Amino acid sequence: MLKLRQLSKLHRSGDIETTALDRIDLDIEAGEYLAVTGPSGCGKSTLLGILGLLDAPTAGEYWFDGANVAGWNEARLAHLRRGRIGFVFQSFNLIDDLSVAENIELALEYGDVPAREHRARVDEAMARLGIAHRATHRPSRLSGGQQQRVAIARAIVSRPALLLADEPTGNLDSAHGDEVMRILRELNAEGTTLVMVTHSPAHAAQAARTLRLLDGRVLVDALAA
Amino acid sequence: MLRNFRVGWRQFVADPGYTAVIVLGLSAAIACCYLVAQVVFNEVLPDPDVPDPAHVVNIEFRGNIPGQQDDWFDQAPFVFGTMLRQAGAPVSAIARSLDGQDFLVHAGAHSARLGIEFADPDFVDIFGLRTSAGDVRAALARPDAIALTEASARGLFPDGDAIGRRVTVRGHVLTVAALVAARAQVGESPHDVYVGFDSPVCPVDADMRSAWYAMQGKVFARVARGFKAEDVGVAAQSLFDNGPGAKNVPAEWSANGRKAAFLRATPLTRQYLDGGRGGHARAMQLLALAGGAALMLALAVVNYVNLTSVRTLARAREIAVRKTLGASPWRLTAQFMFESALAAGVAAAIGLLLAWWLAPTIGQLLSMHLDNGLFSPGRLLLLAVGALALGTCTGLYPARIALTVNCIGALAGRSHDEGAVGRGLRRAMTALQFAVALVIAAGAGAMLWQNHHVDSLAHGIRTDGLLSVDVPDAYSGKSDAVNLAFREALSHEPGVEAMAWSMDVPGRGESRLSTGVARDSRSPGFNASIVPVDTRYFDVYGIPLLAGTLREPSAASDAEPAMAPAGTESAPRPEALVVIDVAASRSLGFASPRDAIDQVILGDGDFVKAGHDPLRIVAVVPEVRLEDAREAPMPHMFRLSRRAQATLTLKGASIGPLRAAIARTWPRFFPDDELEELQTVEESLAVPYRHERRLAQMATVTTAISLLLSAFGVYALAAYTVRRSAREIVVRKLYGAGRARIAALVAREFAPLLAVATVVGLPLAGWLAHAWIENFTERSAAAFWALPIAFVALVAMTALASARHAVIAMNMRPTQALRD
Repeated sequence: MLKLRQLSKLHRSGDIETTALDRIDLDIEAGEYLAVTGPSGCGKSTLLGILGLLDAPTAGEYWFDGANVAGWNEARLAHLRRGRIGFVFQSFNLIDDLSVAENIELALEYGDVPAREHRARVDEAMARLGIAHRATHRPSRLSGGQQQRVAIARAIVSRPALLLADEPTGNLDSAHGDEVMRILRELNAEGTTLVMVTHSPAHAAQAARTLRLLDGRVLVDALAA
Repeated sequence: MLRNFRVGWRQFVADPGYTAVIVLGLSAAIACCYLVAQVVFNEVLPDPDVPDPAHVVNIEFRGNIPGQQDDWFDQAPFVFGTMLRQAGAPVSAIARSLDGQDFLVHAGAHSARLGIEFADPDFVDIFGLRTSAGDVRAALARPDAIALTEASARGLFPDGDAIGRRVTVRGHVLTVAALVAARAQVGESPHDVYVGFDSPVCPVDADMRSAWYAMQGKVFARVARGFKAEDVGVAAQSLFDNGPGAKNVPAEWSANGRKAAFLRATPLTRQYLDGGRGGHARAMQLLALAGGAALMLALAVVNYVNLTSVRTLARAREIAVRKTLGASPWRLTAQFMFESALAAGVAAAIGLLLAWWLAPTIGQLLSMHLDNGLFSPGRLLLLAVGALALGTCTGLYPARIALTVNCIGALAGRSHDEGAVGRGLRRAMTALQFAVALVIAAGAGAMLWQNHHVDSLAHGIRTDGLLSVDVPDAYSGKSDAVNLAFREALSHEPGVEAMAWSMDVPGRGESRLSTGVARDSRSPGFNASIVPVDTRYFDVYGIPLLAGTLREPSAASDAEPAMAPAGTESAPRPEALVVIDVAASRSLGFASPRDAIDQVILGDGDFVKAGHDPLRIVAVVPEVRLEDAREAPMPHMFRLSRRAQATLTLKGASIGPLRAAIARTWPRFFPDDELEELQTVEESLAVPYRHERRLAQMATVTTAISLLLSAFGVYALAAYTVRRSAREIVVRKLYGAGRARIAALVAREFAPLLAVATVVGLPLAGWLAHAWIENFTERSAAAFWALPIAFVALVAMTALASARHAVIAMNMRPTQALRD
């Protein structure tokens, strides 16, 4: 599904050049559950951003569903992102001006799902994540665990093929964190490709495959025992 | 679109302070622009009911007397209305017109004060008057007929048809022969009643209608098919050059081919801005109004863009979320443009209400009907389209910021910076705001200073405790006996200490005469102002006699000679008595005022005839300045007369009893003439400067609004600076920076912008101030102090507006900022 070939990402700030990713080769099959680990600054979030078409590589190739998207402009990337990629972030990134239902529906707003189907899809996602009773509430009135469930609902409402999670349990206590991990496993079991960045060895062990990065390079790429 | 509306509306409601600032700023500017558009629609553009206004011309006149610089008059001698077509001018219709007369019209038990337009029958065709009953052309041709508008007919005859009914005007019975339909544009006719020139009600007698230099009304013509307005002007000029108007003038007027006067034909489409009697001033006024409105709009837009940009930066996370969810660059741009259009739409609605509220007041200030057509569909559509365009354009910069948001950083909670280009653009906009505010403030200050200087000019006459009233028919002499009786009756009223006749209130400038004067037939002549007055004039106006004594003129010397038929010379005038000022005495070559007493000098007679007009000097007074501050001072002469003149000035211990005396006495002598608003002499002296005062008042209001808008901009920029520099501020604090050093960090943001604004704005302000003051011969040297004062005001405003965030920066807690 996803192929990276000799992919590099450099950050330039004035005269300073930092290598975030250094000639990465990576294949991710459809339906895989991949955990990405490594120390701070090793390039995990950068890798996730490139996989999610939020950032462009400096060099190399990135094949997304058979198309090399490395040189695409923002408009084409946005079109490709719609409905195919879901995101879950450590800090939830919900929009405070919108209600829970509206936050979830936002993922359908830019896609190809007909407007008459939005309500049903949103209700379905809220029911699945157990937050239907909070549909009209603003995110600021929810607990951390509930906010993350809203974020997951938003990520899956368009039934994406790929789900990218960047430290999804980072701001949660262990109980809520476990709950979020259970949901993610369920989604993967249903066929959604899941790539998750995590600092937690326990959560990384739940994945079928672990990728360990160091200084922008792949240190270890191993299947779970 | 509904979703964008929802998002935009929630942004509005979420931060009411921000919303109020941007919307009110925009709405004030939109209101100003809409009112300027009203000026264009209502005043500049001709009445849309007039057919083909580009081919309707007004004949205009400009004297060319040696030594004088006359401006174009938007009037012409009535003689052109009768002789132009006979002379073969290319016109298909021509009509004289006299308006501005309000009379009491009686119809049985009903009466009303109505504005009467005296006009020739061709007026109907030229101006497209529509008849709703009877025949308006025929009514204007009959001396015993009158045409009413539908509204005035309903007022006088509420019970039924007005056609054939009788009305009484100034004691004359007239028959209603026609009704004029309402004008489509404004829903009301500019006049209430139309009457022909041959009507006994007409205040202009036959002599004045055939005079070549008397201007009492307008002459309109419709240019014949295939010809241009210029052709009519050429024909009018030729008619004058070959007529008695050019022939019977002093030799020096026409020496070496010099023209005694100029005529032109100005199309209605250019009348407002190019026409006589203030066309240039009106154009300047419109330019100033439009410039002020444009500047305010620029300020409001810069303000809006600045504040919205700061807000957009604060929404970086939301923008990044939308991008991750697949929002294309176009969708994001459209969202921000829609939000801006929403703001502009709300501002336009509020601006419209603001314009509606302000229109009567500002209209009164400008002597315009600004509230007419305010809600007409066409103008509302124009407003809506303008607001949409404004919103769309102002949304582009925030959209640009949104497009540059780095998703990964924003989603990780890192603040987004708009980059060096964005910061530079914001600083440039703020500097522009400062420069505009500086120019407006300095310009307004210079205007006010110059106006004050003009107000305090010494005229050489008493101005306090005097009230003037204009009496009817003074020029025609029809009501001389009545006017004199009116004065006699006033003399017995309590509070009236003294009274004097004069042709006009000194310094008001509404009527003026000048004459060529020479010591004798061998001496060179010069132009002097000559004012008919009575002997009490000098006491009433506090003008002392330096030499000589006053005496009443004889009946013979006071008689007005009969107007000579056109093409013939007037009879020589008898010796008249004059009082001259010291300037005239010097110009005549007298060594001292005493030397001038009892000397006979030569005037050049009435303005029709060139000849010798003996004037005996009976007294000399100190120099007086009765011209307005835009004109060079002239020598002055006062021609003594026992006859009633156009203006009666009353002197008393206080003004109130004088007003009451006139109000009581007037109806007894002038029951059919409306008593116009009375003015004190001080108020009358301000009349020539009403245009400048209006501009200065508007400039002052514009200054206040522009400073306020600039303050908002500074406030937003200060907020952004503190937010962006939070880490720098706390790190400096950690290393010992005191409050003053932290405050200086904030000030550092604005000091260069103020410097740039000063370098750009002050020279421009100086040039504008100079251009304004140059219009005057009496100039205030101190007016340029307005520039440094405006600069100080701007600096003070900047300090105040940034104070809050400077205090926030000074009080910032290091641990909180570093954690964030």
